Amino acid sequence: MAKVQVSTNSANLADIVGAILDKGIVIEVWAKLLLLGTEILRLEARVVVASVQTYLTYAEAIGLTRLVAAPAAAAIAAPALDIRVPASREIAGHAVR
Amino acid sequence: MSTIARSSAVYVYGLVRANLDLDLGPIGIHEDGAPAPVYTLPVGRIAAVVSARKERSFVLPARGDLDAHQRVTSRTMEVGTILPFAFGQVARNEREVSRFLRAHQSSVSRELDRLEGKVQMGLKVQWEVNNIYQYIIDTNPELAYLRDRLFTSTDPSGLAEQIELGQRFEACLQAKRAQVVNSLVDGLAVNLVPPKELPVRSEKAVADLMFLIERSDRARFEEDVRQLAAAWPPEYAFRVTGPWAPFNFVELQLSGSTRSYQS
Repeated sequence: MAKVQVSTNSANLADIVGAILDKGIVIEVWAKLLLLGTEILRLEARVVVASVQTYLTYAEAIGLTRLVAAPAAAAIAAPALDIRVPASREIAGHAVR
Repeated sequence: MSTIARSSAVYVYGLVRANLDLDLGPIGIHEDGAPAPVYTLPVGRIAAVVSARKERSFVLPARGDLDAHQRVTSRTMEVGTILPFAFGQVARNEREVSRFLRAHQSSVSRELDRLEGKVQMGLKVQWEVNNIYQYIIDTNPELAYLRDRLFTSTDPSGLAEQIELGQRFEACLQAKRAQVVNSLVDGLAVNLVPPKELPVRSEKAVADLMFLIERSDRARFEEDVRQLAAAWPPEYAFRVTGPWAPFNFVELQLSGSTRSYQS
């Protein structure tokens, strides 16, 4: 059962930014002075943009999830990618918990 | 309250009906270090909700002013219907706003009718796991295989493989998110205007949706979310936000250099 939190009437900054910063009616002539401010804020916001750098960051993080000792090569009969439950999965599951 | 000079610039929060009795007081964007008084500027059947600014200067999206914009639109929504403006729009003076209102009276009135009594509610879903990479790898044997092949390889030149692994991880995240979004929309948006899907802002974020509902249906919406969440595994965390003015649903066909952002 998933947890449900109701944050009505107490929006956090990220909620507010997501809701009001670039949504709603925009009159371009009136809004152009905001552009600089928007850019500053976007630099601070952690927006996930798919790029080579992002992919490399992901790969590095995924690398850290590998088992230190067991390459699990025996369990993975390449190129059969439809393996049901690789040996590493159970162990990794314990490691994460 | 200070007198509002006709020549001062005007910060605009949104559009309402002219007959809306709105008395919000000094809760607006900061001016001279204090929240500016909010007032309405009526033209015919419609009015703009505004506050004065000394000059047409930058409005940086600082916390206090973002809050102020949100507060003004929310308070207005409590007593009537508002077509919210995006944050940070400053007209040269009241005359410019009046000219805009006069030019777009019919389309604004029609849009106010369409959104009458409606509010938008947000639903954010997140993966509540310690390590999102581990979590995704555990559900995807192909990714686990690629990882093991890459990181146990003796060949140090693995840049292309690393990019491929990252790309596949990204694709897997996107596919899982799409599945969840479809399931949420199927479960919640029956009889509703199709919800707006906002871009997610972190790897652990699964869905960020905005639903347009009748103000009177708020409790039912929250209950529907609770019921839906009960059927989901505990690694998913649901969060309901709002009610918001209909920022994501306002659609105005305006001539000239205007547009309405949609997600």
